[in-house]
Amino acid sequence: METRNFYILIASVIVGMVIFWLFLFAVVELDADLFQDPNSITIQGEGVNREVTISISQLKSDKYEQYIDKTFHIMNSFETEYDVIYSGVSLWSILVAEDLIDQDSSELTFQFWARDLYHSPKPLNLSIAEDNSGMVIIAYEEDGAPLFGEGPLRSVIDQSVIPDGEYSSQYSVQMLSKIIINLK
Amino acid sequence: MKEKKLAEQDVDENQESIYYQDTYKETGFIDKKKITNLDLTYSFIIGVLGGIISSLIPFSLLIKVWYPFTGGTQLVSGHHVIWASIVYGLTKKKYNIFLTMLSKGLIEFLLGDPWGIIIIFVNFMEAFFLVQGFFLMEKLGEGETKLGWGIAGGLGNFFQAPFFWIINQRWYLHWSLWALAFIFAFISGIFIVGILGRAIKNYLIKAGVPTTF
Repeated sequence: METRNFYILIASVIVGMVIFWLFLFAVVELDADLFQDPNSITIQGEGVNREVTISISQLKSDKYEQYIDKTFHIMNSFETEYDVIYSGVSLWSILVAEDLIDQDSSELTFQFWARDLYHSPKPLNLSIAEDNSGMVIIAYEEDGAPLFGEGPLRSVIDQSVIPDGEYSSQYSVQMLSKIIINLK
Repeated sequence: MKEKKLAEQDVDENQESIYYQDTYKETGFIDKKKITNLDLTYSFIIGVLGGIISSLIPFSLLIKVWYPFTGGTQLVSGHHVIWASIVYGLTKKKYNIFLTMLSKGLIEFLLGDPWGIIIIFVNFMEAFFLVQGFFLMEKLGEGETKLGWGIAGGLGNFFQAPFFWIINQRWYLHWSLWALAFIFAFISGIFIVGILGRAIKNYLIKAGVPTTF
């Protein structure tokens, strides 16, 4: 083998090992569940009295407050604004129906996490979800069709209830897998 | 006697064809640094083709089904830049990389790219770094090797990744996801822009596609 090709081989092996260990590190550090059912979400954290996993079919039931074909106003980090029609279930109604929280909502925060380890930029005060029940939802349909690439579930928050300086697009997390409720 | 005449005629025809060929080359390619019709044709046709294909085909689905983390789709991001490397291979003129990416960026913009006008700048940025990559590899004596094309392609495709992650303000994501995404962008550039682009260029030349160098 030529020396040059040998160096290329060594460099390739090093890059491969770096990727492998970075991947493992990300899995461990971010507590990724690689085998979680994509058709369900888990609600967990120190702010809830127990961890629950809810499937899409359960989310669509009348047990929770449903919003069908509701228009949401979204703003992205370029401050481009647009409207999208989603159908979904109110986050606050899930917490209430499942009797998951014992404290006052103002003492708690919520944060969305995706299966691909993307997460909303920072935890938001849970009182936002309580005061604006229809503006913070877990969506399963867009324009009347089930979510495909960005689903099957995603969080959606209307820009009007987002704190100043934040962008609702960054809190509208695709491929939603878990919601973490923590103490403030 | 008749055979001798025929032989002389053959020689004359050969000389005539060489003359016309030379004349054609002289008029068609007076100066290799100038843009020829063929350069423009390749750049714009392949650029438009690239714009349509890169915009409308969701290549990211190839990754999402097996790689779970955000940033993984960078592994196929090289399909945005391969068009420029193919045109460069056929013409060996670096400004054609800019022309190709300009036409591709315009098509992506007109097809309603979510980044709007910024997508044209991103295409220019990719073109700039691809040109720098080829320039650097030529200086290192690797201008025509797979290694040289691979590294040039890697450089050409790499910088869009940090650009998009910074402009998206993804500061809050874990640093390992940033690192993986950037490594994937470079690897995609090596394999798709560089090595695949070079292979396609070679097949096109073997198939008889005229070059302008």
